[in-house]
Amino acid sequence: MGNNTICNFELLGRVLDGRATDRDRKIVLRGLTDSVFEECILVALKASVLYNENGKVYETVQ
Amino acid sequence: MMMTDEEIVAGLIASDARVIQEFFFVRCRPALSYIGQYFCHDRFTPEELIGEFYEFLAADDWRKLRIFRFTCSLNSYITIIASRYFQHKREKELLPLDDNIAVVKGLQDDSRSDTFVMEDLHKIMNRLQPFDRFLIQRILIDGEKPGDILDEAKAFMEKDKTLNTEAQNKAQFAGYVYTRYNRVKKNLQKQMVAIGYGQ
Repeated sequence: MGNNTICNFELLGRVLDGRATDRDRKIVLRGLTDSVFEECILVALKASVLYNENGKVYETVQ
Repeated sequence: MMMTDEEIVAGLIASDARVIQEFFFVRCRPALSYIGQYFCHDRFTPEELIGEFYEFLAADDWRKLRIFRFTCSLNSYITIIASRYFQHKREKELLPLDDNIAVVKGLQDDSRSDTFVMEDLHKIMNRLQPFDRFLIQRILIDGEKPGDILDEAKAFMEKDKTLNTEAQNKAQFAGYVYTRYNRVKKNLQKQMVAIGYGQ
């Protein structure tokens, strides 16, 4: 379960974007029983707020 | 000017150096550094991790981006791929204690053919641009970290008027050096394969 879900990058991407369908969410919730999958998605969730959309503030993220 | 996800993907696939540098070493830098260092902490610098992920993503003519259907944002798509990639890298590097390391060691013991490999490598290197040759010599052959040769690279660039980078600060210059090195290394690998190595 986890390994199949983990490879569906766009589905997981939609979850990070908050644009997941009910079906997407159910798949992810079921996948959370797999510890590898859980770690992968939790690290991605944390990282997803760290994007630097403005090149001018580049120095501040060193 | 903000680029759309479609424009960025097109720029990356077209190997636009400016898009590659902006995307990997500015926009994605905090997220990729976090993910890379979470899974491979203390063993690699952010530049090395980002450079390695860039190579992975660029592999197979940017296959991962070519199959992207834009049903989620590019940021999220990259985040998930990076998370899985570095997690997988950590798993691969955790060798069990009873693993037969002689098999791995055997790969490094083939010293007889080393001389010929180096001769061929130097032949290919002689056809490179001087700055690219310098990067290969210092990073790939001498084993220096890209971050440790920045002053040398800067001095080299100042002497050669044909070279130009728009890097505004040291971190952006490091990004430029690493991206350029990765591109040259990849090209070098292709040429080595073309003359019979690695296949």
